[in-house]
Order: sequence, then structure tokens, then C-alpha cells
Amino acid sequence: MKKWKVAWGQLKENPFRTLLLMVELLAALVAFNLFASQLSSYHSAQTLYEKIPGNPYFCPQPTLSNDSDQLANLTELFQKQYPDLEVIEQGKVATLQDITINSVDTSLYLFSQEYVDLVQYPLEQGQWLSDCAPAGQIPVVVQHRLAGSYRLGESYEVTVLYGLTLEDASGETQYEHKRIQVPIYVCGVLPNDLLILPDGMVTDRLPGMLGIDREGLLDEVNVNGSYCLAYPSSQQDVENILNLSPTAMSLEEMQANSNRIMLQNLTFPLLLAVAIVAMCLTGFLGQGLLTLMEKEKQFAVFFLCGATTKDCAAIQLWKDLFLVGLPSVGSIVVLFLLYRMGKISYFIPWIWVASVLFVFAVFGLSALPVLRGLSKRSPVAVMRRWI
Amino acid sequence: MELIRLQEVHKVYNPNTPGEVHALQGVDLTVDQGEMVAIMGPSGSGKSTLLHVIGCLDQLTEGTYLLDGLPVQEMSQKQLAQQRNRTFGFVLQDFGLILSKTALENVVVPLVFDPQVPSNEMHSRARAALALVGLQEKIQTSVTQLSGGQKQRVAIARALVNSPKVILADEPTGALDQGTSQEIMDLLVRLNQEQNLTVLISTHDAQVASRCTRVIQLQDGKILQGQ
Repeated sequence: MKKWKVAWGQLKENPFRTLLLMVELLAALVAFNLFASQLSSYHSAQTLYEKIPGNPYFCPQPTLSNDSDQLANLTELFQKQYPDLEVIEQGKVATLQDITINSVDTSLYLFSQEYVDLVQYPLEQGQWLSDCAPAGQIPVVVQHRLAGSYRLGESYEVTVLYGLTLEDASGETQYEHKRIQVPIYVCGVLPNDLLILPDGMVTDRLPGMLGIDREGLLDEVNVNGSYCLAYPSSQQDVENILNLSPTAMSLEEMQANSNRIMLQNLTFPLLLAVAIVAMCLTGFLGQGLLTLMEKEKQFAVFFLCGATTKDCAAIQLWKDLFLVGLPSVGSIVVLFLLYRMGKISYFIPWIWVASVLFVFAVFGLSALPVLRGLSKRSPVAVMRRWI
Repeated sequence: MELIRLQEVHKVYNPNTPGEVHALQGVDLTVDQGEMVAIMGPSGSGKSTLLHVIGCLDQLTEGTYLLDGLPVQEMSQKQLAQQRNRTFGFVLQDFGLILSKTALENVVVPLVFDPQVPSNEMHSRARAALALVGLQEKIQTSVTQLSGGQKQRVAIARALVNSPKVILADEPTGALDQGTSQEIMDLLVRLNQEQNLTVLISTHDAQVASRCTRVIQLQDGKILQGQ
């Protein structure tokens, strides 16, 4: 056990260099694991795609209007794209939607019963959209990032914006939107931030929760399903959307689009991780080579004083443990905090362990030439070089 | 009491190659406990090699070496390391210190590798060794800030810290001026006389040799006289 003191003393010989190495190592571990988290999110999305039924259930689409513009009718478009599309109910329809991505408003995606039965999400906690909610509340499952704000087994009221298309006796339709308070009960927590939306798109970019309104609490809303469509929250947004040509994508196109976005989101973390890891590896190996002479000289003195090759290897091992171990502990604290704060979707312990072991192996490699040389030469041959 | 016995000891470097060197050729030598022996000879005569073989830093090619009755040529690497740690203390011409450490940290090194020394006793023993060589006020001083003579004292303190039976000094005054050399020799003689420490000194300095109780002449790996 005295050898750890020698190892610690060696690190204290140049405290600035030691600290710099540790900071680099911490950055490398965090960057690599962040990238791994994003990659896992992407792979999980691929798995979730398999759970989406072949033909999503749609309600007739809501319509947009203002006083003078022509209504955009997407039903015909969808039916052209999806010949097998099953229309559940016609007439009044609305969606609950608030696409404002901020901490106040959260998207609430309502599923039909058929959809709930078909799509079984893996959950981190709780249960899927079953009859777990008290009367008068809508059961929901929340994303991992929202789990801190919406706790399992608790009730809340969320503010949502919804649009409503009304048809009067003459067949004229009007669109309204307003904010309503929705009582929810948190039944479950998703393991990450991935959502399958009612239209089949998979995304982790929007804060949201999934629910089902079996009691018809939102009586103005068609509870048999809802679209995930962008709804305007301002008049300017209305005009912007009206200027767009309505389009519809097939399920495969939506998934491909979703994948493209997710892969784009992977690019920066990947580049950052590669850059930091490359920088650190260069630094580590360089540091290892530069200190080869120092190491050999000190080992020569240790031999003189009665050390064996194993003693020298043990000291080197302790040194690597300190150099790698302390930043590793720091990295797991940082990653865990990021995960709890909802800043990353995944924290994967085995990837963290693998990245730590990899860095440890790199340090071991840098010391290997010295230790191999020591084991092959007699102590006096080592000493003759330096003493 | 006989402490060291070498019988027909040979040491060959790079055997069976064009660069083969017979550093020691049939050396017979006995050293008793408490002797202070000078090993003299010109450069390349095998003085350092003899000290290295005696100090278990290098292994003999042929012959017998008994250390306190134990056959050294049959010892494992671990046992040889233990002998270097507990039986011998080394003093070298260029001191052999770790320059990035203090005097105390250098003297502690042999105690790190002796499992019989508890961790909480290391510093107190090192302080005692430094006091023995008159450096009690330089304990926390970095080695780089010490004079040549002080550095050699630190090296001697390190050699003494684990209470060895033998001090092996390879040209201990080679890098020192005359006055400092005298001080170092005074210290070694005092340790030999007060603690009955066996001291073997390799030197080409006749004045150093004159301070010893026996002088061995070495040439071309052979002992000419004094064995």
C-alpha cells in the first residue's frame, strides 16, 4: 500500500501537467458518452419504428381558415397517399397541440384506444396508458426529460393550445384555437425522450407526453385520435402556414425524414467527441513518451533500493489509477447530472465503463515499453543508462 | 565473522559474441563483518562490476558467492531485491538521487519496498538517518538545492536508512572537491567504527584508499593483491 504514496508523489511533481491531463480526460469521457447517448437515441428510434402499425389511424384533418382565405383540406391528400387509410370519424375534430418548445407549454398527444392497444412503449417506470388515473384525469406517460417536472403518480394541470374546426348548418367551417387546462395523471415515464407521434413520426426533439382521454373530459375534442400537426400560436403563423402547399408524407418518408434529422443531430456530437478524444489520446501518449526517460531513471533508483519489476509496475498502476480514476468519477457525476436534468436522453453505464477501460488501456500502453524493458534487463543495465 | 565470500567468480558480458567482455576472471575474495575495504584499480579493471556482483545488482556468470553463508547465485530475483533492500546500501559517484524530490523523500525510498517497515514509521526513520549524516536541517530541502557534499550525505543516509550490513560505495568522492571528499570519508569511517558497518569502496584515489583497513588491487578483472 506504500506504493500508492510513491505514485501520488510522482503526480504531485508537476501538478499543472497532472491537472491538465485530468481535465482533458474528463472532457474526453463526457464527450464520448454524450455521443454514445445520441447514437443510442437514434438506434432506439429504429426499434420503435417497428412498433408502429402499418396504417396509422387518423381523424379527418382539421382545417385552417381565416375570414378570407380558402380552406386547406388535407383529407383528400392523405387518402391519396394512404389508399388503405381508415377514417375513424368525420365531422368535428380537433387536436391538442402546442408546439411552442419552452418550459411552460408541453405537447400532449392523444391516442385512440386502438392505437394504445397496438403500440406498446417500453417504460422506465410505471405503466402504459391503462386505467390508472383517478376519475376526471387523463392518464399520460411523460418523456424522461419531463420526469423531474411531472412525477410518477402525481396529478397536474397542463396548459395546451388546441385548434377546433366547427361546421355550421350551411356547411361553412371555421377554425378556432384557444388555450385550455387539461387535468393529467402521470402513469408512466419513458426511458428516454423518444416519442412515436400519432402520425407515425418518431422524434426526440419535442417535449411531450402521450395520453388517452377515455372519459371524454375534453368534450370539444375528438378523442378518437389526433394529428401531430403544427398549429399556429399567432396570426403571423397562420399566414405563414396558409402560404405553404399542403403536403403529406408516407410513413416511410416521415420515418426517413425523422432519421435524417436525428442523424444530423448526431454529427456535431460525433465531431466533438472525435476531436476531443483524438486530442486527449495524443496528449496522453505524448505525455507517456515524454516521461519515459523520467520513469526509467526513477525506476533505476528504485531497483537500487530493492524494488522488483513488479514493484515498479505496481507504482505505475497506482499512478494510472489516480490519473484515470479521478476524472472518471468526475465524468460519471457530470453525465448523471445531465441525465437527471433531462439534458441527455440516455446514460448507459456499460458504455461509460468501456470508455474508462479504454482510456486506462491507453495509459497502460504508454508505460508498457518501459516496463517491458525493465523486465528484460538486469537492474544494473537499467541503472547504467541513468545513474 | 565472515560476511562475503567469492570463490572463482567470473562475470562475462555479451558471451559468445564478438563483443564478449570478461569483466571478472576467477575472483576469490572474503570480507569480514566490520571491515573497511578499498578496491583499487585503473578504469576498466572491473571495480564497479565487482561491487555490482557483491551488491546483487548483477549476477555472476560462473563461481560461488556466499553472502552471510547463503548462496547468492541460487537466489530468485525477488530474493536478490530483498538483499539490495535490507543487506546493502549503495553510494554512487553521481549520487543517484531523484532530483524532483526532497532529501527526506529520497531517503524514504528503500523503506517503501520493505514490507516489514510500517508506513507510519518511514518518515521518522528517514529523519533519523539524515540526522546521522548531519543533515537534520535539510530534510524538506529539494535535492537540487544541495551542494555536492550534501547530496552525497543524502545518498549515504538513504544507504543507511534500512540498517544494512554493508555499504557499497562506487567512487563516492569522484565528483567532489578535496575538502568535501575528506568530509565524506570521515563520515564513512565514523559509520564503520561506530556501527561496525562493513564498507566496500571502489576508488582510484590513493588518499581514499589510505583511510581503509584493507586495500585490494584489481586489474583486468583479476585481484592482484589483498584478497
